Amino acid sequence: MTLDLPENETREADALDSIWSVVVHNDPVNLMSYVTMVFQRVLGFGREKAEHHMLEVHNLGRSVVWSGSREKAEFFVQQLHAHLLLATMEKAPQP
Amino acid sequence: MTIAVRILPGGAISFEGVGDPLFDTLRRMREAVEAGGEEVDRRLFPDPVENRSLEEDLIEDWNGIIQPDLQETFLSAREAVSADLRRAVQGSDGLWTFQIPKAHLDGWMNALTQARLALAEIHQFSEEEMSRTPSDLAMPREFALLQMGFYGMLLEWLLSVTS
Repeated sequence: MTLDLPENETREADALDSIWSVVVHNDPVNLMSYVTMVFQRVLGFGREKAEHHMLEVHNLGRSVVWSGSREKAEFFVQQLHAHLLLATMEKAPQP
Repeated sequence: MTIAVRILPGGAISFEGVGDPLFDTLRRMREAVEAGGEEVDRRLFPDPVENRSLEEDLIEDWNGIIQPDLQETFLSAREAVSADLRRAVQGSDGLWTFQIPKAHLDGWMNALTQARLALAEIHQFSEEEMSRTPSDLAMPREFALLQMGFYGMLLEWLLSVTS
Protein backbone atom coordinates (compact mmCIF):
# COMPACT_ATOMS: atom_id res chain seq x y z
CA MET A 1 0.00 0.00 0.00
CA THR A 2 2.71 2.41 0.95
CA LEU A 3 4.66 1.41 -2.15
CA ASP A 4 1.76 2.43 -4.41
CA LEU A 5 1.56 5.96 -3.08
CA PRO A 6 4.58 7.56 -4.83
CA GLU A 7 3.55 6.03 -8.14
CA ASN A 8 0.07 7.53 -7.87
CA GLU A 9 1.52 10.91 -7.01
CA THR A 10 3.88 10.77 -9.98
CA ARG A 11 1.07 9.87 -12.32
CA GLU A 12 -0.98 12.80 -11.04
CA ALA A 13 1.93 15.20 -11.49
CA ASP A 14 2.53 13.97 -15.03
CA ALA A 15 -1.13 14.44 -15.86
CA LEU A 16 -1.03 18.03 -14.64
CA ASP A 17 2.22 18.72 -16.51
CA SER A 18 0.69 17.50 -19.72
CA ILE A 19 -2.08 20.12 -19.80
CA TRP A 20 -1.31 22.86 -22.29
CA SER A 21 -3.35 25.86 -23.35
CA VAL A 22 -3.59 27.36 -26.82
CA VAL A 23 -3.68 31.13 -26.64
CA VAL A 24 -4.63 33.48 -29.48
CA HIS A 25 -3.21 37.00 -29.26
CA ASN A 26 -4.64 40.25 -30.56
CA ASP A 27 -3.59 41.40 -33.98
CA PRO A 28 -4.91 44.72 -35.27
CA VAL A 29 -4.57 43.64 -38.91
CA ASN A 30 -6.64 40.48 -39.08
CA LEU A 31 -10.33 41.13 -39.68
CA MET A 32 -12.72 40.20 -36.89
CA SER A 33 -14.86 38.21 -39.32
CA TYR A 34 -11.77 36.34 -40.52
CA VAL A 35 -10.70 35.43 -36.97
CA THR A 36 -14.24 34.19 -36.25
CA MET A 37 -14.17 32.02 -39.37
CA VAL A 38 -10.77 30.55 -38.42
CA PHE A 39 -11.99 29.65 -34.92
CA GLN A 40 -14.98 27.90 -36.43
CA ARG A 41 -12.88 26.00 -38.93
CA VAL A 42 -9.82 25.09 -36.91
CA LEU A 43 -11.33 24.60 -33.46
CA GLY A 44 -14.79 23.49 -34.52
CA PHE A 45 -16.50 26.27 -32.56
CA GLY A 46 -20.08 27.28 -33.28
CA ARG A 47 -20.53 30.84 -34.46
CA GLU A 48 -21.50 32.20 -31.04
CA LYS A 49 -18.51 30.64 -29.26
CA ALA A 50 -16.16 31.72 -32.05
CA GLU A 51 -17.40 35.31 -31.78
CA HIS A 52 -17.06 35.22 -28.00
CA HIS A 53 -13.38 34.22 -28.24
CA MET A 54 -12.74 36.66 -31.10
CA LEU A 55 -14.12 39.50 -28.94
CA GLU A 56 -12.05 38.31 -25.98
CA VAL A 57 -8.92 38.49 -28.15
CA HIS A 58 -9.95 41.92 -29.42
CA ASN A 59 -10.88 43.40 -26.03
CA LEU A 60 -8.47 41.66 -23.66
CA GLY A 61 -5.54 41.04 -25.99
CA ARG A 62 -5.64 37.24 -25.66
CA SER A 63 -7.99 34.33 -25.33
CA VAL A 64 -7.37 30.75 -24.25
CA VAL A 65 -9.17 28.83 -26.97
CA TRP A 66 -8.30 25.26 -26.06
CA SER A 67 -6.59 23.18 -23.36
CA GLY A 68 -5.40 19.60 -23.41
CA SER A 69 -2.47 17.46 -24.45
CA ARG A 70 0.76 18.99 -25.71
CA GLU A 71 0.60 17.12 -28.99
CA LYS A 72 -2.86 18.41 -29.82
CA ALA A 73 -1.96 21.92 -28.67
CA GLU A 74 0.95 21.88 -31.16
CA PHE A 75 -1.45 20.78 -33.88
CA PHE A 76 -3.91 23.60 -33.15
CA VAL A 77 -1.15 26.22 -32.99
CA GLN A 78 0.18 25.01 -36.34
CA GLN A 79 -3.31 25.23 -37.86
CA LEU A 80 -3.87 28.71 -36.43
CA HIS A 81 -0.48 29.82 -37.80
CA ALA A 82 -1.43 28.36 -41.18
CA HIS A 83 -4.39 30.77 -41.07
CA LEU A 84 -2.02 33.56 -40.01
CA LEU A 85 -3.34 34.09 -36.50
CA LEU A 86 -0.92 34.90 -33.69
CA ALA A 87 -1.16 31.82 -31.49
CA THR A 88 1.06 30.32 -28.83
CA MET A 89 0.89 27.37 -26.49
CA GLU A 90 1.67 27.48 -22.80
CA LYS A 91 1.49 25.15 -19.85
CA ALA A 92 -1.87 25.58 -18.18
CA PRO A 93 -1.55 26.90 -14.62
CA GLN A 94 -1.59 24.11 -12.06
CA PRO A 95 -4.08 24.37 -9.21
CA MET B 1 -17.27 51.93 -63.51
CA THR B 2 -19.31 48.99 -62.28
CA ILE B 3 -17.76 45.66 -61.42
CA ALA B 4 -20.14 42.75 -61.92
CA VAL B 5 -19.58 39.95 -59.43
CA ARG B 6 -21.43 36.68 -59.89
CA ILE B 7 -21.37 33.35 -58.13
CA LEU B 8 -21.40 30.76 -60.90
CA PRO B 9 -22.96 27.30 -60.76
CA GLY B 10 -20.36 25.15 -59.02
CA GLY B 11 -19.32 27.95 -56.70
CA ALA B 12 -16.70 29.83 -58.71
CA ILE B 13 -16.82 33.62 -58.44
CA SER B 14 -16.66 35.73 -61.56
CA PHE B 15 -15.51 39.35 -61.62
CA GLU B 16 -16.27 41.39 -64.74
CA GLY B 17 -15.40 44.97 -65.56
CA VAL B 18 -12.32 45.36 -63.38
CA GLY B 19 -10.30 48.43 -64.35
CA ASP B 20 -6.54 48.49 -64.72
CA PRO B 21 -5.78 50.19 -61.38
CA LEU B 22 -7.71 47.61 -59.34
CA PHE B 23 -6.43 44.72 -61.41
CA ASP B 24 -2.88 45.96 -60.93
CA THR B 25 -3.51 46.19 -57.18
CA LEU B 26 -4.55 42.52 -57.20
CA ARG B 27 -1.44 41.57 -59.14
CA ARG B 28 0.68 43.28 -56.53
CA MET B 29 -0.69 41.10 -53.72
CA ARG B 30 2.10 38.57 -54.17
CA GLU B 31 4.84 41.16 -54.42
CA ALA B 32 3.76 42.69 -51.11
CA VAL B 33 4.62 39.45 -49.31
CA GLU B 34 7.62 38.34 -51.32
CA ALA B 35 9.37 41.71 -51.18
CA GLY B 36 9.15 41.68 -47.41
CA GLY B 37 12.16 41.01 -45.26
CA GLU B 38 12.82 39.63 -41.82
CA GLU B 39 10.05 41.62 -40.18
CA VAL B 40 7.47 40.09 -42.53
CA ASP B 41 8.88 36.59 -41.91
CA ARG B 42 8.68 37.17 -38.17
CA ARG B 43 4.99 37.98 -38.49
CA LEU B 44 4.13 35.18 -40.93
CA PHE B 45 6.10 32.61 -38.94
CA PRO B 46 5.66 33.50 -35.28
CA ASP B 47 7.07 31.39 -32.45
CA PRO B 48 4.72 28.78 -30.99
CA VAL B 49 5.56 29.90 -27.43
CA GLU B 50 5.99 33.34 -25.89
CA ASN B 51 9.19 32.51 -24.03
CA ARG B 52 11.65 30.87 -26.43
CA SER B 53 14.20 30.05 -23.75
CA LEU B 54 11.74 27.78 -21.89
CA GLU B 55 11.02 25.59 -24.90
CA GLU B 56 14.19 25.44 -26.98
CA ASP B 57 13.52 21.91 -28.24
CA LEU B 58 10.03 22.87 -29.36
CA ILE B 59 11.36 25.95 -31.19
CA GLU B 60 13.99 23.83 -32.93
CA ASP B 61 11.41 21.27 -34.07
CA TRP B 62 9.02 24.03 -35.09
CA ASN B 63 11.61 25.78 -37.25
CA GLY B 64 12.76 22.52 -38.82
CA ILE B 65 9.44 20.79 -39.43
CA ILE B 66 6.43 23.07 -39.09
CA GLN B 67 7.83 26.24 -40.65
CA PRO B 68 8.66 24.61 -44.02
CA ASP B 69 5.07 23.28 -44.10
CA LEU B 70 3.72 26.76 -43.44
CA GLN B 71 5.98 28.21 -46.14
CA GLU B 72 4.55 25.68 -48.56
CA THR B 73 0.96 26.49 -47.54
CA PHE B 74 1.50 30.23 -47.98
CA LEU B 75 3.32 29.86 -51.30
CA SER B 76 0.61 27.58 -52.62
CA ALA B 77 -2.05 30.19 -51.71
CA ARG B 78 -0.13 32.94 -53.53
CA GLU B 79 0.33 30.69 -56.55
CA ALA B 80 -3.42 30.00 -56.71
CA VAL B 81 -4.05 33.75 -56.87
CA SER B 82 -1.35 34.27 -59.51
CA ALA B 83 -2.77 31.45 -61.64
CA ASP B 84 -6.29 32.93 -61.55
CA LEU B 85 -4.99 36.38 -62.47
CA ARG B 86 -2.89 34.95 -65.32
CA ARG B 87 -6.10 33.50 -66.77
CA ALA B 88 -7.80 36.90 -66.66
CA VAL B 89 -9.00 38.30 -69.98
CA GLN B 90 -8.86 41.95 -70.95
CA GLY B 91 -11.79 43.10 -73.06
CA SER B 92 -11.70 45.60 -75.92
CA ASP B 93 -12.89 48.23 -73.40
CA GLY B 94 -9.69 47.62 -71.41
CA LEU B 95 -11.57 46.07 -68.49
CA TRP B 96 -10.59 42.72 -67.00
CA THR B 97 -12.65 39.59 -66.35
CA PHE B 98 -11.42 36.82 -64.11
CA GLN B 99 -12.73 33.96 -62.02
CA ILE B 100 -11.86 32.51 -58.65
CA PRO B 101 -12.61 28.76 -58.76
CA LYS B 102 -14.27 27.41 -55.62
CA ALA B 103 -11.16 25.32 -54.87
CA HIS B 104 -9.06 28.51 -54.80
CA LEU B 105 -11.24 30.53 -52.40
CA ASP B 106 -9.28 29.49 -49.31
CA GLY B 107 -6.05 30.29 -51.13
CA TRP B 108 -7.33 33.77 -51.98
CA MET B 109 -8.36 34.46 -48.38
CA ASN B 110 -4.99 33.24 -47.16
CA ALA B 111 -3.04 35.27 -49.72
CA LEU B 112 -5.08 38.41 -49.02
CA THR B 113 -4.37 38.02 -45.32
CA GLN B 114 -0.66 37.42 -45.97
CA ALA B 115 -0.50 40.60 -48.05
CA ARG B 116 -2.30 42.70 -45.43
CA LEU B 117 -0.02 41.47 -42.66
CA ALA B 118 3.10 42.01 -44.78
CA LEU B 119 2.10 45.56 -45.73
CA ALA B 120 1.31 46.42 -42.11
CA GLU B 121 4.75 45.15 -41.06
CA ILE B 122 6.67 46.80 -43.87
CA HIS B 123 5.01 50.19 -43.37
CA GLN B 124 4.45 49.89 -39.63
CA PHE B 125 0.84 51.04 -39.80
CA SER B 126 -0.79 51.78 -36.49
CA GLU B 127 -4.35 50.60 -35.85
CA GLU B 128 -5.56 54.20 -36.20
CA GLU B 129 -3.79 54.67 -39.54
CA MET B 130 -5.35 51.53 -40.92
CA SER B 131 -8.77 53.12 -40.69
CA ARG B 132 -7.91 56.39 -42.45
CA THR B 133 -8.32 57.14 -46.14
CA PRO B 134 -5.07 57.15 -48.12
CA SER B 135 -4.13 60.50 -49.64
CA ASP B 136 -1.37 60.82 -52.25
CA LEU B 137 -1.25 57.42 -53.98
CA ALA B 138 2.07 58.27 -55.61
CA MET B 139 3.60 57.78 -52.17
CA PRO B 140 4.41 54.07 -51.58
CA ARG B 141 3.14 54.18 -48.00
CA GLU B 142 -0.19 55.69 -49.02
CA PHE B 143 -0.56 53.21 -51.87
CA ALA B 144 0.14 50.41 -49.37
CA LEU B 145 -2.70 51.74 -47.22
CA LEU B 146 -4.99 51.62 -50.24
CA GLN B 147 -3.86 48.05 -50.95
CA MET B 148 -4.62 47.01 -47.37
CA GLY B 149 -8.09 48.54 -47.52
CA PHE B 150 -8.89 46.98 -50.88
CA TYR B 151 -7.60 43.55 -49.86
CA GLY B 152 -9.60 43.83 -46.63
CA MET B 153 -12.80 44.66 -48.52
CA LEU B 154 -12.31 41.76 -50.90
CA LEU B 155 -11.53 39.41 -48.02
CA GLU B 156 -14.63 40.53 -46.14
CA TRP B 157 -16.70 39.90 -49.24
CA LEU B 158 -15.22 36.44 -49.84
CA LEU B 159 -15.89 35.58 -46.20
CA SER B 160 -19.51 36.63 -46.59
CA VAL B 161 -20.06 34.41 -49.62
CA THR B 162 -18.27 31.39 -48.19
CA SER B 163 -19.95 31.40 -44.78
